[in-house]
Formats: sequence, structure tokens, C-alpha cells
Amino acid sequence: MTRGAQDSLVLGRRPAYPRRVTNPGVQTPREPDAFEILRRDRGEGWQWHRIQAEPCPQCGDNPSALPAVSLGPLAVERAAAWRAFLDEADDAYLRHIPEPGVFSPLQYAAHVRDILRVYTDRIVLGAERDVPTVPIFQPPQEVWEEYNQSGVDELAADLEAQARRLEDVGANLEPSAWSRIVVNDRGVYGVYTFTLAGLACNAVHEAHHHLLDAKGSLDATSQ
Amino acid sequence: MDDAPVDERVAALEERVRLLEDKLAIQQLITAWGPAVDTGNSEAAASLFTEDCVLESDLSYLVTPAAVAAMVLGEGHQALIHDGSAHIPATAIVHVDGDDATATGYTRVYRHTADGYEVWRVSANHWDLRRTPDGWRVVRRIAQVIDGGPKAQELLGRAVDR
Repeated sequence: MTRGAQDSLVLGRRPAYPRRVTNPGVQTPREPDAFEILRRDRGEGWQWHRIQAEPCPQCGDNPSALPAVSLGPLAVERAAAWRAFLDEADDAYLRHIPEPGVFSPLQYAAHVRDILRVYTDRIVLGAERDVPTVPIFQPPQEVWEEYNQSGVDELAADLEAQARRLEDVGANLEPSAWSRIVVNDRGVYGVYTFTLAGLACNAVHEAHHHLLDAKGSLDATSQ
Repeated sequence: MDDAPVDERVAALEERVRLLEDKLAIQQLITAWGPAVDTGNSEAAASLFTEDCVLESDLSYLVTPAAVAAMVLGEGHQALIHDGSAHIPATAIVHVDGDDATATGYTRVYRHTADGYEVWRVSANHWDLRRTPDGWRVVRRIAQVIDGGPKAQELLGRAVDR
């Protein structure tokens, strides 16, 4: 190896990646808040982005083992399971918050609806743009409280509509597009890469995992 | 060895020099991460990796150099370097096998604060590296914060359990 070749380790190849100066207005890294500590103590500290390549250690769901094109229909199937649950469950049970840090079934349902919507948006974005960066999806506490005031029928219908949209978007993707990349910048929580298939994996896993949460049939200690 | 023909001795010497060059180049590659990310130079950080790279830690999962660049430009990293940071690797244990190599070692990140400096993170690291036409590049880096858990122990064990 020549001296020039060694120098090129740092200076040789310069892809045209974006560069920008530091932003003095952002917050500094911090320690986990009380809610994060609560979730960690319940055994919920798994890095959920891993669902795009591994089974969930809590619920066993493994959407990454499925063909990407099947994930949209799976979302519709899981939305139908939510509809059946929401139709049958008692209204008081649906709105009951079991303990701090655990959501009511209706809050879980609204969260799944929003995940289906947001992640489908991100699949569309990733198909249209090269390596886009998207922010953390973290509704504030007041939104979670509003979730619990939702109408059950309306929420079930919306959840089903968002699943059908994911199915439609997936059906129209070129096969090669499923491996395109979206970067999820979660600020102080870290930075994670998703393929478009990985985004769909996360959406369908959330629909399954949180239905078990809502039914009270997920054993968080089974991992 | 001293009695061997000159051409054999030269060949053996070339092989040893090549190994030393490879190990030095890999050390430089690993060390270059710090100045790149501490100055927010996303291009330089991304250029250390292959196109099929993965950078995985308890704070990130990044696939492709473009994702590495996006991380450097992201809110969390920008917050870290705003007040001054220093990503400093210890000398890694490097094993070269032809055009592939591995390295294992510690890294620590210092932050400048109002009271001076603090060690923000100390991590165990394992790098998979590949010789490319542009020199050595990182194919996969796994960094795990050292917190008493098994993940960091497993990474460090790779250096001594060979």
C-alpha cells in the first residue's frame, strides 16, 4: 500500500452527502425519564426497530420472515381483529387505564391507527425520496388522553381504513423499493434506519402486539 | 530464516510489512471516526464505511453510509457536539485475514460541561472491516455501552476468545 493510498483512508472518497453546521438550539442528551424507567423495569426495553429483522421477544411476532408484499394484507387482517375486539369489549373496559405507564385498550387502538398512518406516510416518502430523515413519533400526553375519549365505532373504522391504505401503498410498490432506506432520527433516543419493508414490519407488529396488550394477554415477563 | 534465499526473505519481509501497514491503516480508520463526528463532518464519517455497512449500538441502527451521515446531522448528535465532545478510541486489537479484518476495543466519549469534562459513555466495540479499492473500510461496527450487562462482555470476549 502506498502512502497516498493510506492517506485516502480519510481524505480519498468523498460522497456527496449533505453537510451542515452545528445547531446551537438543540437540547443536550439526558437521562431516561420516569416513564422510560417504568417501561424498562417492566421488561419493555427491547429495541423495537429490530422487528424488521428479528422476532419480537415478547409476543413472538416475526413479520420480517414474511414476503414484504404480504404485509399490507396482514395489516388488514389485524385491523379486522381489532374491529372484532372493539365490537365485543365492554366500553368501561376499553377506557380503563390499568396502572401508570399502561395504556387503556382504546389508547392502544388509537396508537395502532396512528402508527399505521404515520408509517404508511413514511413508506410513501421513502419511495419518493432518497434516504429521507423523519422525526420521532411521540404524541404528547394530552393526545393520549384524547385517545381515551374516542368513539369506538369511529376508531375501529379509521383503524381499518389506515390498514387498507397500507395495503394499497404496498401493492403499488416496485419489488425493489421495499429495500429503500428511511432514517428515523429520534433525537436523544438515538438514530435508526428502516427499510420500507421494515417500516411495514413495524406497523403490522404494533397492530398485533398492542392487541395482546389491550386484551391483557401479553406476558411482559416471558421474554 | 537467515539462511533462506534472498528472494524468500524479501517475500517474507514484504508480507510482514503488508500486515503492519494493514493494521496501521485500520487503526487510522478507527481513529478517524472521532475527528469526523466531533466536528459534525458527516461526509468524512460516512466515507469510513462500505456501501453495505451496518452501524449498530444501543443508540442506533444505521444501514448505508447515507444513514451514518444522517445520524451525524441529527438532533441528538448535534446536541452532543454543541458544547464540545471527544470520541476517543483505545488502541484496538486487530486481526487481519486477507482482505477481511476484525478489530475489538474500547471507545469513550467525553463531553464538555459547565463544570469541566465528563465521560458520557464508555463502550465495547467490534468492527468488521474489508479491504476495498479505496483502502480499508468498516463493514459493520457494533458498539455496546459498558453497563454490567452481557452484550458488552460478549463483544470484548471476541478479542480474547479466539
